[in-house]
Amino acid sequence: MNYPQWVIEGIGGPWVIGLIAISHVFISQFAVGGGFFLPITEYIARKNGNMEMLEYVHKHTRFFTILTSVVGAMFGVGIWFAIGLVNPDATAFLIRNFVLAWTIEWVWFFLEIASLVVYYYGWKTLSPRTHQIVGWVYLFTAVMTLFTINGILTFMLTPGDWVENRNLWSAWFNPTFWPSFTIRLLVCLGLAGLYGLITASRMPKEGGLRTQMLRYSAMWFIPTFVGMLFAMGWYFFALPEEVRTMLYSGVSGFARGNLAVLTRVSMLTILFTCTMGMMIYFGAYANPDEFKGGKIAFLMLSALFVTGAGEWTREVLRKPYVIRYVMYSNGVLAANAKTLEDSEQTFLDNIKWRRTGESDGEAMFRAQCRSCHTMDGYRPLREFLAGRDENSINSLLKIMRPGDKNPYQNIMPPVMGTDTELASLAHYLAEEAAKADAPHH
Amino acid sequence: MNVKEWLNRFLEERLPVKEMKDLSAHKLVPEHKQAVWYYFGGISLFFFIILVFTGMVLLFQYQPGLESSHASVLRIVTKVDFGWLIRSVHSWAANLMLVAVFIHMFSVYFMKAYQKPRELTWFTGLGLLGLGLGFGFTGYCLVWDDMAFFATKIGIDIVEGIPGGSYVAHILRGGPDMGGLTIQRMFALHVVIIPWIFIGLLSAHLFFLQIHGNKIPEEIEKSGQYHKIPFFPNFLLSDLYVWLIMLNLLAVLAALFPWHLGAEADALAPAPKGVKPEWYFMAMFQLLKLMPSQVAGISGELFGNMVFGVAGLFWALVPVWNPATASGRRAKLATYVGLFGIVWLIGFTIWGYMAHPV
Repeated sequence: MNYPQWVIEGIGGPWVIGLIAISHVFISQFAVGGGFFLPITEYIARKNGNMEMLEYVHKHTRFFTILTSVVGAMFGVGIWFAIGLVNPDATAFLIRNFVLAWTIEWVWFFLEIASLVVYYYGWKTLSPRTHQIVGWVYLFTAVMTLFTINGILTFMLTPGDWVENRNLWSAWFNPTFWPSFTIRLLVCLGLAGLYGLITASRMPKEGGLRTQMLRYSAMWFIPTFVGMLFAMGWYFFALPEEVRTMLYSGVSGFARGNLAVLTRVSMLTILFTCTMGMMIYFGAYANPDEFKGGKIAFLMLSALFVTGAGEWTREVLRKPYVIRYVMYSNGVLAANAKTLEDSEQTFLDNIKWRRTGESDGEAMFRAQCRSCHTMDGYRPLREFLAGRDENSINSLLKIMRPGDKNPYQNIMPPVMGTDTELASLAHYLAEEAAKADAPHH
Repeated sequence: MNVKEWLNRFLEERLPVKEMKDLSAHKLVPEHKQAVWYYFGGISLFFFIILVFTGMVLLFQYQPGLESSHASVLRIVTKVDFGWLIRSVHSWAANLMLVAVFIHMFSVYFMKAYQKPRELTWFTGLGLLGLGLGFGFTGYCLVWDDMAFFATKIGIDIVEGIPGGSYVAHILRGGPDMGGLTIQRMFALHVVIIPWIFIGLLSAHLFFLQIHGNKIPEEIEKSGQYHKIPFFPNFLLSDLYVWLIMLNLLAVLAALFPWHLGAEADALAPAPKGVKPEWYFMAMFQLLKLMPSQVAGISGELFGNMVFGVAGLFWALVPVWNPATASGRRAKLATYVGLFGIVWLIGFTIWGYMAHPV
């Protein structure tokens, strides 16, 4: 724990990051999908001399530009604020180790936004050929932003050879890079079609263009529908064995205390991908006249849910690390943990930031528990510790020390510290738990 | 001849395909601002289909019996691969079906779709609601956990309070006390007797719907602000779309909020804290709780049951006392009765949960 940390009761820090990140991904993957959708649709319209279709693309560009470059970018900045405040150690680690990658990402991002602005404002002023070229530039830069960020995100789950050689390219092209990139590209294409449906559904029913564009947009979901299960399978087998085991843990039973919920959420991701494919076929493609209002809202809600479920699964699969094998989810470096355990140093002597006047127990709590747990909200400690006294909590903490005997080793970071430090943490937790019990007695 | 042509010819030579095509081409469904309510009948049917399917799968593992009921459900939710999912889907679908059926009933009521010539559709629909509640009551008991045991006991005790109810209660329990025979009888009711009656009544209900079609509310019919869309394929495709939404909803609930299983029932143990019936009986339960011990010389519980009987009969017979008009005094009375029914049902259900927290 090297920095002060933003403590959020209720939904907890991880969910604040999660909600902002899911919103960002939902829009930014549409931005990449739009990179395909806009220039390809423009190309088809120009090739066939279909001026109405061209007008549709123009209209869609406006909606697209506002949503991706304003709302999407706002959420993007929001992620940086949230991760920097909730998990400063992990953020600092990623910045330090990926300076070049982040620089590349921001260059692509700048070019992406610039080409999108030129594409939007150039509809009336640029020649058709130049406008089309700008569209292809937008497609290339948008895909490259995904290519770059995908390297960093997948590194956090499967750092691969980087753990040994500390080579940037080993980190970037880690074992899950390509399957994850394929999944995200498929999601981008699907989202492009979904958002295309929104614009198309708002067109007048007369003339047949509405039906034509609804069916055209619906077709964009086909690669996602067909390819996603294969891509997911590829991703699954690229995961380390112990991570795959986590995904099986909920096949029989839903007991608390393991990661059974991962199985359940993964199943929902697969189901929603299938049902969305059918909803698009039954709704937009086969029954375009009745495709409006509520149906679109539920389709977009399903897409948002599946985006959230997918991102959440990826995050939780990293447990108990935030960067697998490198840094635990509470910001403690795995290497430091090993040194600490071997040298029998105290934990608190190694943390660089403490609140003035706080007890050792509270400092231990803030440094090792707070980044994942709240007292009463998300992953509530008061509920988990209910019925335990100080001695019992102390025994539990001792069980959770590093080592193979720790039953929680695949779910939570190990608890570190000397016997005295663990006792002070147990004392603090017992006092906090008792505060909640008081009104009931 | 390609496969499609061959298949068409094969079917045409053996089945009345042309007549069926003509029938479907002529079947129209009204589309207007209140048309969303038409979907709730189909939603109820969808959940029923899910219940039949998951119920059959559960039958492969569930063993009725005093020693085996709870143990087999425990095995289903902890040992059998995806057993927890099937059981959770079954339980959630049962509750969602009843929610959909209640919404369907009230929407039919307020659209005055019970009036001539649709009285039989209304009566069969009410019968299906009753059987749906019977499904819930009998199914809840089968897990034989502490809450289910005492909630069933309360339910049967209420039945016992009705004149002649002691015979029914005796038959349901299989004796003076709840035990192995109670499970056996609830099981028979749940998987054989009620389903057979339900399917017969459902067929009649759908047949009457097919004959009379969907009712257009009178004010919309007068205003002319509606059009008709073909049932096949437009409405059917929309129906399938809504079913997919419901499937997603059901999957989210079943996966993220798996259905709870309590400790095994112990008839000699005191009732657990917060014991109460399922939500669909809560309003009735709460009203009975409020009854004084004696009303007009008879027991409060009996009086409460008589009130339910009269009110239920009054509700069921709405096509008789408001047979034709959508406006006028009787129609207004019907609307007020409907509003009172909703307020009572929701209000007393919430009150019941607040009065009996877990």
